[in-house]
Amino acid sequence: MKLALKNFKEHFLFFMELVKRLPQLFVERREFLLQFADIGFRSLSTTITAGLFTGAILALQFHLQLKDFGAESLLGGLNTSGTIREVGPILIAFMLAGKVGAFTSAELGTMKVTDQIQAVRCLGLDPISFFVVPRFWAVALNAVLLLIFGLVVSVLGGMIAVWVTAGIHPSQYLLMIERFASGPSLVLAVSKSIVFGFLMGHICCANGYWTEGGTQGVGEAVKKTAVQSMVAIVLADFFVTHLVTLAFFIGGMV
Amino acid sequence: MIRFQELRKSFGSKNILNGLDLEINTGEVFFILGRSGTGKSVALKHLVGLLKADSGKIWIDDEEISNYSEQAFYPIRRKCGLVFQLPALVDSRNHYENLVLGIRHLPIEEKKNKIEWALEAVGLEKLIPNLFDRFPPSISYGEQKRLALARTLLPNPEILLYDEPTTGLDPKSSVHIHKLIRGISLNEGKTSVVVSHDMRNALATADRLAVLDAGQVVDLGTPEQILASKVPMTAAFLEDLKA
Repeated sequence: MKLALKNFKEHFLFFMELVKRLPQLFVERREFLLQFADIGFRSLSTTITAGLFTGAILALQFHLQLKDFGAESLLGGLNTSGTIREVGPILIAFMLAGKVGAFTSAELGTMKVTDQIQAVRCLGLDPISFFVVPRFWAVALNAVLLLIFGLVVSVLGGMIAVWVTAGIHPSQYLLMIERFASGPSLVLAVSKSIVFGFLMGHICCANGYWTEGGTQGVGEAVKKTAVQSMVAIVLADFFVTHLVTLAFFIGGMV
Repeated sequence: MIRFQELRKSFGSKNILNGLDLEINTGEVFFILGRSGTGKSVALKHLVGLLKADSGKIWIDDEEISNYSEQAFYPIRRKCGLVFQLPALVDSRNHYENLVLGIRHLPIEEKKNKIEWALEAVGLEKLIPNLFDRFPPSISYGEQKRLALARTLLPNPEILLYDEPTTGLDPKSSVHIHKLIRGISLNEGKTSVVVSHDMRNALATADRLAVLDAGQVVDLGTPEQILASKVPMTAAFLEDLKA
């Protein structure tokens, strides 16, 4: 418990360092844009695959249940709501954490153990502003956009899956989406995408920057990033779901 | 002038520097020799604030820097350029971007002139075609080391610190780098502090040398004095040389 609190404190302080250096993003805008384009391009195929199959799997499962009750007309709405509210954000975030998060941690970790970060420090530059700030924002903003894009793709995946396997026409599938996946579902999906994206960006950059002890240290940083990202995403999922639902409940929308 | 006084540094239970006392004069080429783990690189890293001493004092030109904050070290790092054991070039940046890291604030024309001068100083000016647009992994290790040296020279530091600059290089390249160190020091009037294992090249390059053992200076002198030394650690080094 003490160790967990210490870890949390270190992460919080590092996050504050990143927030404090936000204006430096303008100075390092070229690096940010390069990282942003690179991460986005590299992660597109993962996002499309994850989105398509998340939507498809859930649609097939829902279809099995609903057809026994003759309620197949509800499939599009239920599947879209379930996917964008819960399964989609968490699964796509896991995949992105495994790909983008691990890569960024390994990159920063390697820079640390090969003295690139110390060398930049010795040249009078602030290594957090120079290396970490552009990567943090590039990963976080990319993850948010990719998650939202992945959720749109997941709707498409569900629609194609039931069209091909159960012959449910896309127009029928799309008909109920508006009724089931309206305001609260969209707010929940976007809120989760934002929180997961920033968590991923922060965790991978912090662990990469804190790497110690050669190549073994880089491996350790990547492992920490994977574990911490997944735990943080699950915990954040619970709290965001609870808070957004509560907000809509208070607002009288659910 | 650089001065270490009673400098102590431990990592966990391991004492690395045990009261290091050493004075390096302005403008000289000074070599610090010793076996692995005797605290040579650790001492060097204290000069640019990469490590903080447990106790003791460090002066650079009458300025006591032992308790400086990270911010206070910025001007010191402009004064002291450190060449790392590894080339430490930023992999994700091309050579031009690596070279200008320490001189980003200068106008483009001035940057170009300075880079031309630095590349000439390290003997890279005409060696590699399209040098600027290429990335560090595309050139040899020796060339990366020379490029890293050029990058360190560009902000025009008064003191150059070299942390085992010839590690991983073939003997011919090692000789070349040592000549470069000597040449830069003489031509540009810079103080050079070199941490090394290489006694042969050190004797040929240094104005003075110090031999470290267990975090303390056990021998100190000019190459001639070191060659005649009876200190066991120095004698062991010289014995290796004969072998």
